[in-house]
Amino acid sequence: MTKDELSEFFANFLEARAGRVTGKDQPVLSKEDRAEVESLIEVADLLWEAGHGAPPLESDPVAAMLGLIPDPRCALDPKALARARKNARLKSGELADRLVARGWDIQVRDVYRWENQSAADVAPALIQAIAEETNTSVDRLTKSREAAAEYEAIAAVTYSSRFERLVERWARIQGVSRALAASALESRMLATVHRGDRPDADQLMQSLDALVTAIESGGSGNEPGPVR
Amino acid sequence: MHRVAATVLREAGLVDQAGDAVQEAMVSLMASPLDDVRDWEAVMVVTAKRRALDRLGSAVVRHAGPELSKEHDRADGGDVSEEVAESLDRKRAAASVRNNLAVLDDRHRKVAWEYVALERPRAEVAAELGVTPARVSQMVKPALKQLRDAMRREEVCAYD
Repeated sequence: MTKDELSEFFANFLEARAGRVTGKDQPVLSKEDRAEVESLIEVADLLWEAGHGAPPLESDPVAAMLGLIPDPRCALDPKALARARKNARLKSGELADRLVARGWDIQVRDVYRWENQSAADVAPALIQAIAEETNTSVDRLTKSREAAAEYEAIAAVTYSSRFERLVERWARIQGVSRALAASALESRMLATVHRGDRPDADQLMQSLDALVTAIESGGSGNEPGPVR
Repeated sequence: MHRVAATVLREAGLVDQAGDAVQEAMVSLMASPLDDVRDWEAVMVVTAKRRALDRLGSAVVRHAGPELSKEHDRADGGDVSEEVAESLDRKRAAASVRNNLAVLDDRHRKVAWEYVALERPRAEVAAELGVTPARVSQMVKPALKQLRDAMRREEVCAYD
């Protein structure tokens, strides 16, 4: 079989696997070609399996069910955490060790960050674990919804038509789908919030606009690489 | 769990139900927690696979009538520990192929991931690359070959 025939074989095979029937008969393979093709199909299957694993955390309903997705309506209060930890006479490292013993993948620097910068990324199930280890209740550890203003700022941005236009521009610049572009710009805003900054909606929008404009003009500022 | 459920449902064209099978598996485990579990990952993977097989079985029954197919009966038996071991091997291999995407240049990597792994329409991937769909097809084989060779080199190094 020639190179072109093998390429066509693979094209038809992959299209058929994806449910896009080509209506073309596949050629009969020689023994040598069959061995080669089978080894490459194995790689294609592994790639497919790698691409069909769990969805991103924030869109996984099972993760939501298990309390693994940070919820702005149930945000850990840094001051309350520090108070609860001290009342329980635990050092930051000791609290981290106890959480690790429960199966959480965290380090002592996470505890420092939660108390001194931002705890916006702490999931409800982890807050529950922290409450149990510090002998307090989740209510005493969490902020009220009004105090989670940073997430409301992000929501205000993403629901605006100006954000939609930025998404279109980003998708065009990066050569990616609209969904990927929106996800990239949202992730950038979330990263700002998780760093402990508290920008309002206007500041977030201006920051995104400046980023997109800089890339369009060929700037090499603090922009991320292509989104894959 | 998602990968295993998707693999089971793939042949019947029911991949979009993989998430539902995983949710059902988790709900059933939460509703009736098991005692003395040494390996929760294994339990969750097997439960997800069972739920996916149930969906497959239901689809077969709907199409073929009340008599269950032999595949469903056969798949429901077997050694659980072997199942789990095989699933973990596939998980490692899938992780390895994903890690080895780095050996490809940007264009072949995009074809391997977007077209082969994610099964995006060939015409879409071609448009984003600025090539014809036929060119995308031509790029698949060398990409897969490079990945296969990289994985084989990795295995050789692991045994050295």
